[in-house]
Amino acid sequence: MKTFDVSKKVMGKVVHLEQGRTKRWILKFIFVVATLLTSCAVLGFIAVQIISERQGWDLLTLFQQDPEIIAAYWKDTLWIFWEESPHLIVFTVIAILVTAVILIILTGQRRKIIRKKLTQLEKYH
Amino acid sequence: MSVSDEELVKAIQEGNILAYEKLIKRYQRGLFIFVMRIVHNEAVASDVVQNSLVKVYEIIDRIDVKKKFSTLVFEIAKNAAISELRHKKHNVSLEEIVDFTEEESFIEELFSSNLASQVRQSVKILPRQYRIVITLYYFEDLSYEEIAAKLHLPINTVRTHLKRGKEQLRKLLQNYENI
Repeated sequence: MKTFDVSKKVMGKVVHLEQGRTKRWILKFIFVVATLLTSCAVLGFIAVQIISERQGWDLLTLFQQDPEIIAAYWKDTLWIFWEESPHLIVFTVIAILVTAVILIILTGQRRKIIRKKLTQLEKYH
Repeated sequence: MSVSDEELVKAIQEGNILAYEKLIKRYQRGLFIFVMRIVHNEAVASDVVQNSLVKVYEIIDRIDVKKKFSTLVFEIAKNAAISELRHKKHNVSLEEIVDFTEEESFIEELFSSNLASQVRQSVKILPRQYRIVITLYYFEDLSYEEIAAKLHLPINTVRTHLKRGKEQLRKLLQNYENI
């Protein structure tokens, strides 16, 4: 009976399978993170525009004043600034950022594995 | 010292894809012999073994490393071989399936990496005539005819030696597991 060896053939299929899987995972990850960050940027930009329209940024010029004035009015100034901000948009931006951070933390281990797999796939060819 | 199946599976789960080649090399021959007994065709057996090994890889991330890897591999190969037979014959008798299952457990034990050294040790203890036949059949992959020709024995004698050798080997392995 001749020697039976299918290791090369199986490894070829495994590498092909893994290339597809890895590529799909990376694309999915990039898509989700990019979507989160883009929506965050868009909403952030809108929030900045609204604050500008309400001249909210002018309130922050207080922090260029003397330290005594800052010490006396910083709480009130920040409170008014917050009141002038579009709350819903700000909360949404914060929620998206938190989601992105959690996602990045949770996929840390998986990303490490993917990096290792990419190195191995490169080595195989 | 050789790496255990569990360590290799864990390494693969951690991204070391190339470690799978070691598992393939460890199991392919045993799987081929096992599948051959079901499908009785080298080309089909080769395809079944390849597909089974790819299938095992597909689910390797979900494999519990605490469970015996060999059981899973042989189970997948058995199912693949039976569906291949079904595909060809449209039906397989229950008797045939029972035979495969009985044979499977023995071969699985024989080729399991954890037992590999123990099997080799146990084979050494077997009476000479059984030891030679078992070694030629399982470790050197010779057919009944080839063994008969090599040892100048009738094929039926080879079959009997193999059967008795397997029985003794099974007993030895059971004794080992009981220790």
